[in-house]
Amino acid sequence: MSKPKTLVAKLALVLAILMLAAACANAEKNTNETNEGNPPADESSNPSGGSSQDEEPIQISWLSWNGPEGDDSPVQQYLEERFNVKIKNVRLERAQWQQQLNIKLAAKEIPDVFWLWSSEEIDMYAKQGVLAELPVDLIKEKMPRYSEDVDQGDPNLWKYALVEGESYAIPLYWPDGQTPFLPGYNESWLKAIGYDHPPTTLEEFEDVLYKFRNDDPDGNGVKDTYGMTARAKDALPQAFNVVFNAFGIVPPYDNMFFYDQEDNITFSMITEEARQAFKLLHKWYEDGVIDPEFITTDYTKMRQDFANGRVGVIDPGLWYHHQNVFEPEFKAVNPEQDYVVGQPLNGPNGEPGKGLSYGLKNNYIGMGIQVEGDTKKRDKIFEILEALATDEETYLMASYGREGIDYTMEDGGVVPIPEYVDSQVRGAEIGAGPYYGLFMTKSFPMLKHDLPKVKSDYKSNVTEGVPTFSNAVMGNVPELAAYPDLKKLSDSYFMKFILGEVDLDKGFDDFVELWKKSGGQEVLEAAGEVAQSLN
Amino acid sequence: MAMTTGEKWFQGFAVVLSASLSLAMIYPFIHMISISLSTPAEALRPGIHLYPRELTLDAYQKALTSNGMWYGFQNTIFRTVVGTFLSLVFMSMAAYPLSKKDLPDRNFFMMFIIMTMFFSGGLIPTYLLVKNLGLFDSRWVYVIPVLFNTFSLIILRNFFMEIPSELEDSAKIDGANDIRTLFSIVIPLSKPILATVGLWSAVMHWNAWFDALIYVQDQSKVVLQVFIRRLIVENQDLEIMKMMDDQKSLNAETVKAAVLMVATLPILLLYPFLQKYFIQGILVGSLKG
Amino acid sequence: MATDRIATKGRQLIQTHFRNRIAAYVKYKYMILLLLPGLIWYGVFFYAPLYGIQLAFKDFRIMDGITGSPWIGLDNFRTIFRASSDFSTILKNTVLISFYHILFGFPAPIILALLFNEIRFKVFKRITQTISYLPHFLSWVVLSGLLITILSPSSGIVNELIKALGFEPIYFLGDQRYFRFTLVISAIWKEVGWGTIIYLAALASVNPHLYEAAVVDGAGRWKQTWHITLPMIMPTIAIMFILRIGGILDAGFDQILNLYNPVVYEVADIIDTYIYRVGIGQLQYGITTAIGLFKNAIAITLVLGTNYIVKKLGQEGLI
Repeated sequence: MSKPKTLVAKLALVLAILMLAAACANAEKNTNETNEGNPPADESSNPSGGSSQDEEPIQISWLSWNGPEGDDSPVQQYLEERFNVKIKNVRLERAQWQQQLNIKLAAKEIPDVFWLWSSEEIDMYAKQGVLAELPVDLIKEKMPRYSEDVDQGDPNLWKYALVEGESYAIPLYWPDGQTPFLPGYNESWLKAIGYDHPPTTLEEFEDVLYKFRNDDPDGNGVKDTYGMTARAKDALPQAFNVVFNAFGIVPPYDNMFFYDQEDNITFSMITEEARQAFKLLHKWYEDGVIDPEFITTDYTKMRQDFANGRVGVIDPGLWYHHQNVFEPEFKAVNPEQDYVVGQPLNGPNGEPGKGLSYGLKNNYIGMGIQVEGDTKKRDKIFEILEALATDEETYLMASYGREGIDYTMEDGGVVPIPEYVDSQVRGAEIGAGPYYGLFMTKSFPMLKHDLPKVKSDYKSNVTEGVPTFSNAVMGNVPELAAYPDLKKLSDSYFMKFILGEVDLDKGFDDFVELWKKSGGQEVLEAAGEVAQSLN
Repeated sequence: MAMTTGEKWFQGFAVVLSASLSLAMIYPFIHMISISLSTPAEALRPGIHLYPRELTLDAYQKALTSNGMWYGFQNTIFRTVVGTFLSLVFMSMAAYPLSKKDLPDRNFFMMFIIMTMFFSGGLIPTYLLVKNLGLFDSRWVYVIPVLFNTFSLIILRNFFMEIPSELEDSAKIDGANDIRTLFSIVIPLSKPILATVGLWSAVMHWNAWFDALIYVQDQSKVVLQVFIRRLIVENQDLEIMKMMDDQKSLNAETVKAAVLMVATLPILLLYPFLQKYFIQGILVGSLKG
Repeated sequence: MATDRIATKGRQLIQTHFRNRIAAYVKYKYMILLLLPGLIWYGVFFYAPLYGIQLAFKDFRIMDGITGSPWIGLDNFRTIFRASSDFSTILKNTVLISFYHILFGFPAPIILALLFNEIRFKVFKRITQTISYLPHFLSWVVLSGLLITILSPSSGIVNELIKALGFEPIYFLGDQRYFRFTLVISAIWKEVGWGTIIYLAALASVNPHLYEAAVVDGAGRWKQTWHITLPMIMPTIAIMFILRIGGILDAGFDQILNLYNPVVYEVADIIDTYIYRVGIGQLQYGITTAIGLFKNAIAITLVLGTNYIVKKLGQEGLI
C-alpha cells in the first residue's frame, strides 16, 4: 500500500492552503479603497476624453429583476449594438433583494442603472449617498417624451419620492394600478340562492353571505359552505377589503392613509366607519358566515377554498387576478360552473361604492452615485431609458423579444409564444421582460401592445366606470419605520375585534388611544405634512 | 436467539411505535409526490393527498426543461462531494491533536476555535474577504469558506477522545508518527462519527444557496438551490405588479412540488448508503485487532 | 549575593519552562502540523473579518465603510430595547419557547435512537430510520402549508382523530393556548429523526461484549439500557446538551415566521421576528450586529456555565 505517498500529497495540499491564506491576509487591508466589483466593468467608468461616434462602448452595470441567465441574450445584444454600450448584468433574487444588494453596495459595487422598488428604498439609499441626484428638470430635459406622459398621468409622481426636497429617481407609473380591487363570486351559487346578478349593496352582500352559509348553495345536502374567507395569515390588510370599501374607507394597511370628514389625514382603522365595519364583521364571524379558519388562510389556501367551493366570494383581486388566476383555477376544478366579477358595494346608507386601487404610483429607476460625475454615461442611460419607454421597436424588443420568434402580433397586441408567457422564463432565456424592459406594461403609448384584445375587453368590461379611491398619502412617510410595532398592534386588534376578544365600544376607543400613544399620533402628523407638501 | 415473552411484547411495542411515527413522518413526502404527479385541478383539492388521481408528468417536464437546472445539478454535486470530502479530511486533522490531553496549549487552541461559535464579523467583512481572495465566480467559493464547522469539529474531537489509546500506542511502537496514526488507525476506527459529520456536511452543501447568490454571478456556476428558489420562493409574491405572467399560477403548485422532489431525492438517497456505519458492533473487528 | 542567586534561579526556571515548552512542541510536531491548517483557516475566515463587530456600536454608512462609519455608542442597543413597546414580552416568549424546545425536543432524538437500537428486525429498522429523517429535508415554507391542512379544525386529519375520540376539535395554529405546543411538537416531528443520527453513531461505538457480559450476569433489557447503553453515550449527550444550551435565544425564527398569524402574535413574537420587523426597509447591519452580540454574550455565559456543571458531574466537557 502506498499510504506514505498519499500523505505527501495531503501535506502538499495543506501547504497550498497555507500560502493562499497568507496571500489573502495581505489583500485584506486595501479592501475599502478599491472600487467596483468587477475590474473590467470599472475601467470605462472613468470618463474618457474622446468624442467621436465610433468610440469605445460605454460600460453600464444594470440592476433589475427577472434577469437573463447568460450574458449574451438576444435582447442584451440588441441594446448593446443599438446604443453602443456594454452592459454588465447584476442579478439579485427578488426574495432576498435587500440582503444581497446591501452587501454589494457595502463593497462599493453600485450599479449604474439602479432599479428601486419603492420610495422607502429611495429614502434609505439617497440618505446613504448611494444614489446620483437626478433633478426633475434634468429628467424632463433628457427624457422629454416620457416626462410628458408622466405629467399627463399625475404630475405629483415627481414628488412622491423626493428626499428632503431633492429628486433621485425617474418615477415609473402603472396604468393598471388605477383599476379597482373587485370581488369575484361563484355565479352558480348565486343562481342557486336566487340571485341573477352579483350583489351591489352591502345589504345584498350580507344576504348572499348568509345564504351561501345556510342555503346549501352547492346542493350537496351538507352544511359545509361559508360566505367568505380572508388572508389573515399573510396579508391581513387585504382582508375584507370589499367591506371596508363599502363603509367608505381604505383597508387598514399600515402605510395607507385617507382624509376623514374634517379633511384631516387619518388611519382608516381608528375611524368611526371602521368601528361599524368591525361590528358587522364580528357579527358575521359569530354567525359563522365567515370561515373561522380565515386566521390561518394565506393566498394559496384562499384560492383553494374558493375553487373548491368552501367559500363563494373571493375578495382581494385586481381585474387580471380574476382573469388570470381566480377564474382559470375555478374553471379547472369546476368546468361546469360559472364565475362572475362583481362591483364595489354601495354603503349602509346608500352611498355609492368605490373600489380600492393602488394608484399610478409605482417603482423607480435611479442611477448609482458614480454616474453623477460622468455626464456621458448619464446621458447614455437617459437615452436608453427614453427609447425603452417611448420607442416602439426598443420597447417591444426589450419587453417581449423578437417578433415572429418570441411573440406574434394579433390586432396590435403582443401574444408571446407559450414558453415565454411567463416573463421570468422569458427573461432567463432571452432577456426580454422587466429586466431590460423597465417600462414593460408601464408606458401609455405602448399599452396597446401589452394587452391582446381579449384581455383589454375583459378589463374594460369589469373596471370601466367603477369609481376608485386610493392612499391619500402617496409620498414616503419615514416615521413609519421608527415604530415597527404599530402594524403588529393594529393587526392583532384587527383580529381581536372580529373574533370578539375586544368589544367594539369602549374596547375600540381604548385601541384608538393605544394606537395613537404607541407612535400613531406621530405617524399621522408626519403623514399630514407629507400630504401638505404634495398639494 | 429465542425471545422471551416479555421480549416479544417489547419488540411488538417498539415496532408499532416506530411504524406509527414513520407514518406521520412520511406523509409530507407522499403528499408532495402525489401533488407533483397531479393535474392542477387535483392539486387544488384540499385535504389529504396519498396518490395522484389523474397521473400526469407535465410538472416534471416543466421542472426539468430549464437548462439552468442541469448546471445547478453539476455544481451542487461538485460542492457536495468535494466540499464534504475536504471538510472531513481537514476537520479530522484538526480534531485529532485537540483530542490529546497533553497537547501543549491545548486549552488555548480549543478556546480559539470555540469562540468562533459565538462571534462573527458578519456578512460584509466576509464578503470583502472572499472577494479579495479571488474566489468570486469560482466553484471553490462553495468549499473553502465552509471548510470547517466548529460544531462538527467539537463532536469529532470528543469521539476521538473515546478511542482507547492502546490502539494508537501499538501503531506508534511500529514506528508510525502521529499523522500516519491518524489516517491508518484513528480514522478507520471512527467511521460512524465520520459518516455522521459527513452527512451533516453533505446536507449543508446540498441545501446551501446564499453563498451562490452573493458570490456567483456566472450562471453556469450557480447551484441547484438557486434555481429551486426562483421557482418556489419568487412565485409567492404574485402580488407584485405583473400581469401576463399570472397564468403560470394555475400549475404553480404542481411544478413547485415536482421541482422540490427533483432537488431533494438525490440527497435523501445518501442516508441508506451510510446506514451500514451506524450498526452496533461495527468496530468490534478493529477493536480486536 | 542572595538577590543575584534568586535572579539566576528565576532565569533558570523560566528557561527550563521554555525548554520544556519547546520540547513539548517538538514532541508534538506532527500534531501541531495537523492542527495548523485549521488554525490558519479560523484565523482567516473568522478572526480576520471580526473587525465587523464594531458595527454594533456604529451608525453604518455604506459609503464610509465599516471602519469609517461614525461611532454612536450604545444607540443600536437602545433602538432594539426601546423601539418595542414591550420588549420584555418578546424576551419572555423567546426564552419560554426555546425552553420548551430544549425540554421536549432535546431528549426526543435520544429516546428515538434508543428505541431504534432495541428493534431486532434489521430491515424494518433501517426503513423506519430512513423515513424518520425525511421531514428534515422539507423547509418550513413548504411544511407550513401542509401543517395548516393537516391541523385544520374542520378537515384536518389530526382533528378527525380528536373528534373520533370524542373531543372538541382544536385550532392548533389559530389559538393562543395551543400555538407554542404546536411549535414544539411540529419541530420535533420535523427534526427528531435527523437528530437521532449522532446518537446512532455513538451507539455504534458501544462494544457489544459489554452486553454479553451483562446478559451473563442476568441483567434485563432495562438494566442494560440503564447501566451500559446510557453511560456509554453519555459523553455525546453531554456535549450535545452544552452546545444546545448556547442556542437558548434562538427559538426557531424560520418556523415561527412561516407558521404564525396575527392572533398568536402575543405568544409567538420572538427576538428574531421582532428584529426582522425593525430591520425592514432599513440598513439593519448595526442593529443585527448589536442583537447578535447581545445573544452571544448570553450564549457564551450559558455554555461555559453548563460546561462547568457537566464537568462537575464527571463528564468530558468542551474544554
